[in-house]
Amino acid sequence: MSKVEIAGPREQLLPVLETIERSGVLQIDASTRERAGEDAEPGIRPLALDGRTLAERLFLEDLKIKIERLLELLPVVDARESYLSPARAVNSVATLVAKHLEAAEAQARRREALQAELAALDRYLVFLSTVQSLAPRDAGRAGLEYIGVEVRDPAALEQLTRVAGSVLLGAEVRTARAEDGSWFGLLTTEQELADKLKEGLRGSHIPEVALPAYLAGLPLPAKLEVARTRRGQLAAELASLDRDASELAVAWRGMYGNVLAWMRHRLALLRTSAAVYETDRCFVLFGWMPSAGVEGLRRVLVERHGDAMVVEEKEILRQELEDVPVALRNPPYFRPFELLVRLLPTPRYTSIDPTPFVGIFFPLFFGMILGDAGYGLLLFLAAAGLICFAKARRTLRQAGQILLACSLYTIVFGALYGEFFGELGARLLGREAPWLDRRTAILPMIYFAVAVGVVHVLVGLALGFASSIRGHRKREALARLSSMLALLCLAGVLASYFAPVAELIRKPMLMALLVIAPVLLLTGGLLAPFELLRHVGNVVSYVRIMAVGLASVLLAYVANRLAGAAGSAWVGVVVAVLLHAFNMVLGVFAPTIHALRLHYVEFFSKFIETGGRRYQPLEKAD
Amino acid sequence: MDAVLNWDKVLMAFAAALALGVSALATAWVQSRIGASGAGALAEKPELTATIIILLAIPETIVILGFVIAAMILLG
Repeated sequence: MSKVEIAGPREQLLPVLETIERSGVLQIDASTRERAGEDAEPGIRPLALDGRTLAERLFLEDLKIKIERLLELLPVVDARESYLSPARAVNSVATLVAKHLEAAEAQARRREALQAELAALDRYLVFLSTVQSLAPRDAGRAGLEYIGVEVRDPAALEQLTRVAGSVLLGAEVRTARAEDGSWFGLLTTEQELADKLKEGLRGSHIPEVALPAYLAGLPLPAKLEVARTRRGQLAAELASLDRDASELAVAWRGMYGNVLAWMRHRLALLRTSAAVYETDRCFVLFGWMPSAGVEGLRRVLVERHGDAMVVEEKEILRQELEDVPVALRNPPYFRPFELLVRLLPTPRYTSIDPTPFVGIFFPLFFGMILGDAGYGLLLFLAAAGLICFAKARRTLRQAGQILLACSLYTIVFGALYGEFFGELGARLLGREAPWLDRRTAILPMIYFAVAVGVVHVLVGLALGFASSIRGHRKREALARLSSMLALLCLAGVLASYFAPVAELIRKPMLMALLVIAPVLLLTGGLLAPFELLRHVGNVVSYVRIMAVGLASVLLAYVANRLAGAAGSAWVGVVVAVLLHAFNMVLGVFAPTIHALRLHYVEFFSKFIETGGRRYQPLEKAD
Repeated sequence: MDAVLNWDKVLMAFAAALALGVSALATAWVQSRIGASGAGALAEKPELTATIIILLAIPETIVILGFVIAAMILLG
């Protein structure tokens, strides 16, 4: 990464920013100048925007809000493509958007009112249809009043009868259940008793259904008829509003979308100018970019904006090392694994990029855990499909590439363990596992997993040692080296108890451990023994490779056994397919999580220093 | 039929089951606490996904150690 300073004539600032944005390599960083202080280069001050640029920014900010609001109100439709140049038409668009926004807001308000009325009317219709079935034949007779009530709780029906009975001296109350499950009641009474009855209902908290004013005074059948007619009118008006909104969207959405994208880009440029400095005649930009791209950017800027443009590479100061942005750059095979490294906070610029090590060990651990040629083959096909179909989606494609590497290791370890959909392959071929049978070789598998753990942790400690040497931290480097040697000796001593051949190394290893122990205490302090104990715990944690793998192979074994015990061939096949599919889904998730954990917790903790800044160059969004 | 009860084997099996069972329960309890807090944290800060996965995976070492002890009791 290089620290660069770009200077040029002040009137060229926005075009230069556009060129830099198009090249997508420079991360503008005003803090590098702030750190240097005013004494470093006197006469350079933060850029003060001129009146014209400020007015343009305010105008565009206001227009952006209006267009965003309009697009929010317009329905999403297949709009006409716009070929209008936004830069030229922006003033006309400002006039037009005010008119369209007013129309769209009026439509939205009217739609909201109609929808509220329609919802209320639907409820009245349910009520009216229900009580019509309750009304007596002489419902149109003068002198009678009908009171409709809604009963929210069926238990309140009894209360309704009691209230009506106390007011009307035993008059019958008719109730019915509506289509939507709610209960309605119809009370029929003489007009002179109606007010008294309503008062009684209010006192008992039984709500009367209040119909809109235009239905008041009409006989019950007429009320239903008028309400239905009104509903039809509302629905027609709503449909007409939707049609108008769709027409507006088809005609203008494309153009407004286009203008909005241009404005966002233009505003981003104008905002970037807040991180720019100036002298009396020039603008000055400070930033970071990959060293390999400096010459290319210099050439492009001089070609497009003349010889007055100056791109200068500055020395990175020691106190700036923590602020240098970090870009992960790896060979093509390792590049997809950056996805797994990016899940964690960015490592510091001075730290070692762990991606290549993840690229080597992650698929290895995955393969060791799943270790089934049949599953590996299916995963290989799935990964190949994912890579082919997700060409445009970078993250998915990278996930497919990781899965592809994992599936290859799964096939290799499957061949070593002699597993093809569990023990099915070995049974069909009538052969034993070529290397070891995971179901029975529990102790050898534990030793194998621990041995892999020792190697992985030692690699982590070696990287930590290298990192300390690079950072000129001698004491820390010595502590890490002694930790590494102590762990190696400890592993050797323990191995000598399990492997007869290794018995010869026990004594020398113990002697070496006695020599290393004081060095470890002197360089690592009193906590050094606990640190060593933590490394031992980390190594034991690798037994999970064996444990999760054992669970996977036993599930496959059970799937085959259950399929065999099914009685019918077809049922057996279905059972086997279902159980193997389930095991395969588990077989993708469990090894991924465990392999990731072994990297994040056991491996990265040995050498990674987090707290770095991610490299985010100014680039044009698509 | 004179079936002789081999108490050594019974005790070994019991000890192995205890080593694995208790450590599994401990892991489950810790993971339930971390999982609940992690889900809350994720709702507010989705960028913490990797950290939560790490925190959730850390107590698994307890059950792995339990498994190793159980294997050593039975097979060692």
